[in-house]
Amino acid sequence: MTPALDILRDAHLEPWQKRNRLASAAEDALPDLPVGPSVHRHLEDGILCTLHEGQAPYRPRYVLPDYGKLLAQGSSYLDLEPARDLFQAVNALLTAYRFVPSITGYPVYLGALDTLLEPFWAAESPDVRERLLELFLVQVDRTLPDAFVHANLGPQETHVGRAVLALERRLKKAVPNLSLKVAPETPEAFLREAVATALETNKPYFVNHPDLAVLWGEDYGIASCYNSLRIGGGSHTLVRLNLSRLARGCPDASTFLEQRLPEAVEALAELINARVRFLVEESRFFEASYLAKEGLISLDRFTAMAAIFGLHECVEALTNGAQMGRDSVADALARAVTFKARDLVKAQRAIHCEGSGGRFGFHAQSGIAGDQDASPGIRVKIGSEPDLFRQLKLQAELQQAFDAGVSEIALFDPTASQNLDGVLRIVRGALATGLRILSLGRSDAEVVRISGYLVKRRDLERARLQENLREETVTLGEEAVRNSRILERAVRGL
Amino acid sequence: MAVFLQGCNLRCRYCHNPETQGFCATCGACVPACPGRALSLEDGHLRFDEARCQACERCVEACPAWTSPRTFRLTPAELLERVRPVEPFLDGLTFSGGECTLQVTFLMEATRLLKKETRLTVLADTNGFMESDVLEQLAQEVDGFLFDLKAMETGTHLRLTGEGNAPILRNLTRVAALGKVVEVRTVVVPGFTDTETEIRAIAQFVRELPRSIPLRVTPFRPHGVRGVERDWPQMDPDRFETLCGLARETLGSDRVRTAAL
Repeated sequence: MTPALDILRDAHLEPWQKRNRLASAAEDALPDLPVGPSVHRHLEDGILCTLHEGQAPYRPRYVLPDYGKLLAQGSSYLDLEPARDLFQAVNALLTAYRFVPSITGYPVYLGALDTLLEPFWAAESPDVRERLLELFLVQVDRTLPDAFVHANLGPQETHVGRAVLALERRLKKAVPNLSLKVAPETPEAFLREAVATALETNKPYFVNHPDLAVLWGEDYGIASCYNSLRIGGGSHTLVRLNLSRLARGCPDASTFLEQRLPEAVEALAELINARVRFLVEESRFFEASYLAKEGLISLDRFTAMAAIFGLHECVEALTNGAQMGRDSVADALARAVTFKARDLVKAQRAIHCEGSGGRFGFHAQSGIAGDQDASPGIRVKIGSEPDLFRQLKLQAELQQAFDAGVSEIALFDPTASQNLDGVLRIVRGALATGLRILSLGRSDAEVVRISGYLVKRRDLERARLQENLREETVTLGEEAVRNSRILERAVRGL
Repeated sequence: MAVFLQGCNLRCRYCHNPETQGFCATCGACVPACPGRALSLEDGHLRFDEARCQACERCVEACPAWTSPRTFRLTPAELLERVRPVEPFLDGLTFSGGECTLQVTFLMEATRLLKKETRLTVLADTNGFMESDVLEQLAQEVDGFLFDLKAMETGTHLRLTGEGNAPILRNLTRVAALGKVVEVRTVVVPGFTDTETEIRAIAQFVRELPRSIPLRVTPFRPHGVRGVERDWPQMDPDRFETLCGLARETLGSDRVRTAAL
């Protein structure tokens, strides 16, 4: 039977799920984009991977609309006037969210909620504005049921920011994903609130604002798992390179660095460019998109991402078993591989990437559910973790290579809730040491960080029992838990 | 960060890390107990190979001298080298143990070095059973003490720790007057200090100390305890709450710190 008929006959799927799978099946049936034999070889060997994006992209992987502009000017396509109060602002955002494309079909960026809504806050009574903000978050969770939907806060303290943190602590949902930009001037008491929320929900991410602002300017957003991209821009596509697979059978580190890695990065660049070319020049997304026509996105703010993952296993293979975080020879090779990969990526010509100076964005990819022998990004393998500070210091060094997204995850035992200042100190220390993005939480939190996205713990159980859930990212999470020991991540005492 | 120094001059029966009390007698009883062969006796010294250690603590169980073979020596400079890389993640360092003031020379030098070279707060956990001038000297260097007050009634204190409490009370008063007591700590032990009289007396003493010092009240837990004391009952939660309430009555709720059982 054809894949299409199998999909239509699947009694476990709702009609909208069938429709999405039909679209994917149609995409998968398309011929390969024109690329050379080296690209095909790397794809067949599992070294390069397009993350099921589809044979021929017709919308950017990540889109970060300038919602501030939307609220200020309204939208002709969406039939919205400029927002004049909190109701209109919330309404405009919720409307726009349903019309933002991405790899997931849901918006991967919801905007900096505090910047967007704070101007309207004071005019409403406390009861009304609290209730409205809560219902806003509830509607986001119910109608955009995808854990890659991502909102931002900070670095300044605001009423909206405080309210969101308190609401998230109470609501305890996986959606939206959340990031707090942290600067030296972010007030301690506000950061403490964020730590309290994070311990219960593993969000927000704590983001090194000074570092990222140097790279992108002030107008960047954190989208999807933890991608750092321009507001009004985004990323056309992402192709990832499996360092663990690449190192297989490689005789020594020198061959890897001087031969295998350069060849792989060249193939990576060729593949990305082929996909970008199709998106921009053949599917002509930017010509058709109302977002582009109304100035909410523009092509010259876009990048395309070249990503690596599986560093730990790569280093393990090339050193005959040395462990990142524990063995200094492994740490040294981790640095060498990471920065060499970065330099190679940045030396490639990237088409339609004016948003990143005509070069690819460099990203540490957080894994997909099916990954089994390659740790996410540049992280230490679960089960092999050293003491926390040693791990954070190594990750901070390596994270400096990545402009388009990288993150680390720390789990604390439940007593951490009695020592918020201790956790806060660790956050400040980690960012001061150069870490770019940090997720933290309690080991018993109801909301679990899988690798870049979140899942509710009780949903994992429902997925295990094969219940069909509205929030399909739970299925990914459940698979990832089975394949990559997510729930065995090291738990730290304070 | 906590730095635990070996050796103690009291023998509190409820101690939850009794392996910090003694000093190695190089008897070698721990050597055969180690499954990873991390221990050996060479030239009358005990050698510990950290790389082979599995942290199973069978050596600690086998030790008759109430110590742990997993101890090592550090100079103040070596301590600083361990602290430096993690300084951004810390607010302070606490010397504990054992009774850290037994190694007062090291403690003075290490504290001076840490205060000079880092921005960390330095505190010391103490049982206060020490020559007064030693504590006063230390008070010049450290930012503060976390001071144990185990019992007020002399007989109870003797039964519980092996010593009387007169020097302790004297020292606590002196160091409090210097403004260097950050917190007074007491453990409520069934059969010893779980009485209304004791808790009121402790709270009253803290109340009369110069400067407004908080009292931390902790319930006895058998975890880590050695000997017959292992079978002592854990504090009953309701009884513990009642006694904490009495402490709050005497001292004020804002000055009594407890963790719920």
